[in-house]
Amino acid sequence: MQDKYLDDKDVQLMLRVRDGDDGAFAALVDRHASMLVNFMYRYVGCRSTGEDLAQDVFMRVIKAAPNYEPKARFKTWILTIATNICLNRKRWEKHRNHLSLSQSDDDMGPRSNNEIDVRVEEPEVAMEVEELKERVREAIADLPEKQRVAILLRRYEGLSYAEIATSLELSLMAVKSLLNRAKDGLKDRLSHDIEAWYPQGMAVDRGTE
Amino acid sequence: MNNKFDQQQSRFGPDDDMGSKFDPEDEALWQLMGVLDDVEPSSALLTKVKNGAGAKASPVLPFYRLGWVQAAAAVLLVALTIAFWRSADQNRGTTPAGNDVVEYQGVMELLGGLSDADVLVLEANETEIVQADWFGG
Repeated sequence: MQDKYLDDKDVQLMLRVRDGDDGAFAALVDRHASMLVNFMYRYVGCRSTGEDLAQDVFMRVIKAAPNYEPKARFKTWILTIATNICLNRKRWEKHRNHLSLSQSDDDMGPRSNNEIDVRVEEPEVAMEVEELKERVREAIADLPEKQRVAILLRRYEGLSYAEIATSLELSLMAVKSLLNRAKDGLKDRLSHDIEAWYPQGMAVDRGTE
Repeated sequence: MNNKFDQQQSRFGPDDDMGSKFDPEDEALWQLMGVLDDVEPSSALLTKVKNGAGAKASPVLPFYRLGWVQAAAAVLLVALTIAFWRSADQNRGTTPAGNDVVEYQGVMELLGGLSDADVLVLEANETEIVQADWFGG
């Protein structure tokens, strides 16, 4: 057991789960269900499938509990499980290709905890934002699967390069290369939007070249 | 149309743990990706997952939750039960020609096979054999 992770409250909960404490497991579900559902949703592009995959993650947590040893932050550990499930679920790739505007936020139920404050007072702006969301989703969905997982872990889950390397079983340099390719792919696909929404970013970037 | 989004702290900026050079285009991409909302897990999922944890202590265990030793013990128990049931509900005999016969659950099983000299007389109703006799030639 690595003592340096024992300060992690989630690790403490997981150790109680290992000892058969169902209440601790329920607490972990409450603390991480949202994160996992969002990670899976952004990976597969479908909310209900994302929930199914998140459920799979928790089932694996239960299965792994008797032999659990804290060798990483709990979040890294559980996202490693999620990553493995993503990469082993190639069949979802077919489903992804059928995603369309019909799966916009409107049929995804209520949203909350917006990470970015989007000002949508004006209907035209709201529509533009919805279309932008769809383009961002599609751009992410078009990435090769390892690039997609890496960029999701980095951008939305805030994992460090080292933690991503652990999750994907890659070297640090390989992770950096993977993320660079993912960013380049996204910038290619979203260049118009980046220029439209953040012209100063493009301008400064060009100015430094 | 810019500045629709509030600025947020970059996760790919100068504080990057690989020491990457700050790239405004990366920053813009990072902020653009922030347009995606978080979704809330459904209450059905939370209930299902938490109940799933409780199920591991349920007396009605799904088979896949059993360890190999328990699974092997369960299979052995079933096999022994069937063997006992078969041995307790069978009739053994020998045809006059010397062939061993076992009858159980209305099924005749010839352990050696009949010779030409053996004659079987079976009395049966619609569902089972009620009487079996062997006559040797």
